[in-house]
Order: sequence, then C-alpha cells, then structure tokens
Amino acid sequence: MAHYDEMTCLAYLDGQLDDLRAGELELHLRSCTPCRSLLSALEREAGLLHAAITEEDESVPAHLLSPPQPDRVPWGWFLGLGAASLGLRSLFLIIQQVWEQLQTAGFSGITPMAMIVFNGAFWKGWSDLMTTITYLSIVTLAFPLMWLLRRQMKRLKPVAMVLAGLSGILALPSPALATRIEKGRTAYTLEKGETLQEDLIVASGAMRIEGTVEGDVFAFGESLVVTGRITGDLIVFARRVRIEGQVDGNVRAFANSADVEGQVAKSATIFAETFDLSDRGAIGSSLMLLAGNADLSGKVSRDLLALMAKGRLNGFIGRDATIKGERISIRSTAEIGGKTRVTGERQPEVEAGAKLASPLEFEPDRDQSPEYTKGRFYWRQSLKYGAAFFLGLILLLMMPGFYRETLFQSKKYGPALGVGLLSLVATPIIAIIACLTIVGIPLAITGLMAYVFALYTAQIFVGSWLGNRILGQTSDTAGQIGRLALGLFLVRVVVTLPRIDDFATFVVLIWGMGAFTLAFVRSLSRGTAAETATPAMPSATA
Amino acid sequence: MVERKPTEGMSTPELTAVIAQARAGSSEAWGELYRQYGAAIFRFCRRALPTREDAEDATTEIFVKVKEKLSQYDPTRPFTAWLYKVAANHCWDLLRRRRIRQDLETGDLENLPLEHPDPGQLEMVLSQSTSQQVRAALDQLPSRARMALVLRYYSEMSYDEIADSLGVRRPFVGVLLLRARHQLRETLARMGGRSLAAGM
Repeated sequence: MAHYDEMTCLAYLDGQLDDLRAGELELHLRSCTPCRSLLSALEREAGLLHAAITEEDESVPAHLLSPPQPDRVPWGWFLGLGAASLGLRSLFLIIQQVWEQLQTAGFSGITPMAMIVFNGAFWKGWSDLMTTITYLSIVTLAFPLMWLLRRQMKRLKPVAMVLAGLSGILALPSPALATRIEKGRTAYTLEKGETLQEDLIVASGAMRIEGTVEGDVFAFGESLVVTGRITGDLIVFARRVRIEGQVDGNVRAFANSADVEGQVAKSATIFAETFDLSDRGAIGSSLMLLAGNADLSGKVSRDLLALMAKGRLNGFIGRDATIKGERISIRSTAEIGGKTRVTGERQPEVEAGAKLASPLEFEPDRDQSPEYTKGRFYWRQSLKYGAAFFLGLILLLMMPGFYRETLFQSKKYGPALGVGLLSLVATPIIAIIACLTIVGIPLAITGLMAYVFALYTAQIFVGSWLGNRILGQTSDTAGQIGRLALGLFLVRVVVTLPRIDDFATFVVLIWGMGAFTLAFVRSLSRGTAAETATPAMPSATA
Repeated sequence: MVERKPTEGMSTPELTAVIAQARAGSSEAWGELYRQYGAAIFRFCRRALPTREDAEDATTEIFVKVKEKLSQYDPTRPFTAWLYKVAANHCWDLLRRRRIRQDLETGDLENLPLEHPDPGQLEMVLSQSTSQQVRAALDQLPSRARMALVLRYYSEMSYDEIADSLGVRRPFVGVLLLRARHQLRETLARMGGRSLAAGM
C-alpha cells in the first residue's frame, strides 16, 4: 500500500491542505496504520515544539516592562557634541602650537593643512614627545579594549563614551596634578589676594577671577571677568568674557562678546560675535580670530589670522596679518610688521597714516553664488551627480548588506549627526597622532582614505534616505536604485542652492558620515556576535 | 488564521478601542498596548534571535516600528497577526543583514527523505526529550529553520504568512518546516546520546 509522505502529513496537521486532499488523506488514514502512527508522532512532536517554544522560561528584563521612550535624553548627541568640542580644542592646540613653531623656524604663510601634516616633524621637545607617546599608548590600548567590548557596543552609548573618553584624553595634553572644581553656584569669585595653586574648573553664572590661579582655568558660564592673574591657559565658554588682568599661557575663548584689555602672554584663539582688543590689551604671540565684529586696537606681537565680517585695525600686529572678511578697515594708527593679506568682497579701507611694512595684498573673493545662468554649471553638476550615482550603484550592488545597514543608520539622524561630527573632527586627529609612529603610518593612511571615502559617500546615503522617505521603503534592488537616483538629485539641488549651500553640504557630510561610521561599527559587532552565536551545523538531513 | 493568545486581560472591543486611541496619539493607550504585548514580543525575539541582548534590542526597535506604522494597520484584521508580522520582518531583516548562513532554496527537496520515517523511533526521541532540550536544540538550528519553527509554533502563522515574512515561495514553507524538524530531531538524538554517554 502506498503511504502519504511526511510533508503532506505535516501540512495536513498544520491545516494547510486543501479540502479535497485532506479528505483523501483522512480516508486513507482509516485503513493505514503506519500513516496513522506517523501522524500521531508528528502531532506529538508539534505539541512538544509548541510547549517548548511558548514556555515562559525566562523573565522579561525590567527595562522592557515599560514602553520605550522616544523622547529619551539624546546621550548620543550630547556625548558626540561634547567629544567633538574636546576634539576641536585639541585640534586648535595642535594648530596653534605648530603655527608658532613654524613661525619661529622661519616658515610663514603656510596653510593649516600643511601645519597639520608637518605637525609630527615639528613637535617641540622631548617632554611633548613623551606626552605623545603616552597618548599613543592609551590610544593603542583603547583599540583592543574596544575590540573586547565589541559585543557590548551594539548601542550608540558605549561607542560614544569610548570615543568621548578618547577625545577627552587627547584634549588634555598636560595632566593636571591637582584640580579645584567649582560648580553649581550662581556666582563664583576668586577674591583679590587669594592664590590657588592648582588648576581651576569653574561652572557658574557670573565668574570673576581677581586673585591668582597658578595653573589652567576652564570656565563655563554666563560671564567671566579676569582682573587677576592666571599662570596657565584659560579655556572659557561664556556669553561675556573680559580679560583685564594677565594670562601667562594661551587663551581659548568661545563667547558672544570677548574683550581683552589686559595681557595674554602666549597666543589667543577667539570665537566671538564681537571681539575687542583694546589699546591697553596685548597678545604675546599670535591671534586666531573668528568674529562677526572685531576691533583690534591693542598689540598682537606675532601674526593675526582672522575671519571676520566687519573688522577695524587700529593697533599693532608684529608680523603678518591674514584676514578674510567683508568690511575691513585699517586705520591711521595701525601698524603691521609683516605682510598684510586681505581676502574679501570689497577692497579694505586703508587710512593715510597706517604703517604697513609691505603693500596691502588684496584678493577679491570669488563670486560665491554659482553661475546658474551658464550651461557649464549644469554640466558640472550633472557630472558630479553621475559620479555619485555610479558609486552609489556599485555600493548597492556589491555591498548590499552594508548599504542597507548604513541606510538604516541614517534614519536615526540624531545619533548619526552626533557621531558624524565626532568622526569628522576626531579621525584626522587620531590619524595625525598615529603618523608619529612608524607602525601607525599605514594605519593612518588607511584611516584617512576611509575617511575621505566616507565623506564622499555621505551624499549617497543621505540621498538614498531621502528617496526612501519620499517614495516609501523597499527591499527591492531596482526600487532602491530609483530611490537613490531621486534622492541624490535632490541632495545635489539642495547643496547648490544659494545661501544654504554650505550649511546643507555640512549637514549632508556629517549625517552621511555618522551613518557610515555607525553602520561600520555595528557590522563589526554583529558579524562577530553572529559567528559566535550560531555554530555551523552539519548540512541537511540524513 | 486563528486569533493568537496573548490578549488575556483585554477583550476584543477593548483592544480595538485601545488601538484606535493609540493611533490617535494617546500615549496612555500606547502604554497599555505595550504592557499587553511587550513580554510576548520579547519572548518571540528571544526564540528567533541568537542572544538575549539581541532580543532586548529588537523588542524596543519593534515597538518603535509598530508605533510608526500603527496608522497602516487594518483594524478589520487580527492585531496580533499584524504585530507578529512586524516583529518577524524585523527579526528576519536583522538576521539577514548579519548574513547568517542561509539555507539554499534549491536542492532542499532532494535532501529530504521521501520514505516514511519510523514513527516508533520518532516517538522514542520525543519521549526522551524535555522542553528545555528542545529549546537548546532549537538554538543550534540555522537561523531560517529556527525562524520558520518560531513563526509556526509561537506566532501560529499560516504557511502563506511565513512565506511572506521569510520571502520564500509558499510551497517551500512546507519543505522548510519539515527540514527544520528533521534537523531538530537529529540534534535532539545527538544530545540524548551525549547525555547517555555522560551518564555512563
């Protein structure tokens, strides 16, 4: 007698046979014992499977008992931004240091990029080299640590924390022996005559330093006034900053308005809406300035590197003044010891009495608005579009898993933007430091190549996200290509729009780069998790 | 398809009302839905995915997706069916992205024994296996086989729904399930052998 095969019996048990076949089988079962016993064994097996699978053998983790909160504190954002700002600080320190050393060595007028590249060669002295070796060992240790933690690094938080820690270490060149931390008060004043023999970290509303700090000062708050003395560096984030006293080290200020009326012995880096270097103010080395409105009446012993919308020069610049700005005026009292180079939309006004060591070099800023009326513009844009689309296509077809993962990560724009900003700043710094060792050079080059690649592919993933957003999601490759084409086109349009072009390009870069980095990290951790969790089975059935 | 279990504590009209409120944006209703189904979805993920951490992550991600997609849910169809479909798609997508070894669709039929298995032997393996052993064996199956069994015996999906979730042809689902059972039996038999040997 012919028997029914196992698959048909299973389909029958699962209620997946049509009525006709089910009827035939039932008829057959009445007279066939082997088929009946098979069916009964299969049924028992199904029961066992059902019981085993549905049995509540494990408790549900406590954090899953309440619904996920979409409005959770965006730690990824905070940490990403925090790390990025720390990274920025260290980048400025490096640039400033190298700038000064190059100035001393007689190199002048080189680009910031060249400064970074030559950083290793001009590292000053043994003590700094030792510090660098310390960083290197920490960075080298951090990598295996990250590798060990890879399975835990499924969420953004630990990644951001590790990277933030790393950037934090990089950003603190000289380890503080002792630190005084003052926080949580509405006002903080270091009284006149008082001396702190340690670093001071202060976070408060109105901060005043009237006494002496024998160390560095890190200040975060509403306003800071220094009438006393700081023997180390001053790093400040505040709405108003006023330095009337003396800073023996460097000043890095991020402020709405910053005034220097006192003495800064070394260099100053100022980011401010308005900056005023009064006629009594002096900066012992160079001044790097990014300001909306600046008035420079005091003395800058070395170079001035400034980017400002509106600037007046009344004072003394010891060496070169390199300025980019819209309205620059050089008054009769101004004195510039080196070259004066101005890039801008309009010729700077130079009053008759101004003493310039060499004639003013003015370079009109090229017209920022793209030539929309010219065919060449559209041709160039089409070429850019075509190139990006082609690369996107290659990625989509050759690395579909990674493409999908990156697309998935770009949907989480908060973390992607935070991590993007972090990678944008931290990667070159880490690469530069890695360059200082022979072993690190290939690593740094590979890292930088990946960095450039990630920067270029950023538009592809943001474009693809946009396409998916407009046309809806799909897992179909042809559909994905269509979405990529549409999204990339829109990205190209947005990044060429007047006024918002630079901002849009920046957002696309950090967003895409963040998604790329997250996808890379996740694919690493997932790959390993999957390998360890699923041992290979002997193939097929007996 | 049959209406799935985990609706205890809430009648169908109550559930319909809660879903409607959640769709309208009520966070209270959403919380209620989560409390009702969160544990079931976690257990589903725990069976479908390799590690507990994966299941925890996936549960959160699934509910975020459910919240986003709730407006797409057709209230005339069973909610649990829809919920498990979202969960299954998410887990399967996750496993696929990790490129876990996948069974090839072609050639499977040749590997399946067409003759009757011995019901006596099967009964013996079953009688010697506990739920715990079945779960341990399940963990060792290739992801697609495990996923197919979970969709069938946890979510109680029909062959059509399984085909849709796993992206395979409908006739292949039977092959997949049968093959998964064979692999499970083999693993169980091996485990039994091991424990016998260990007991000697």
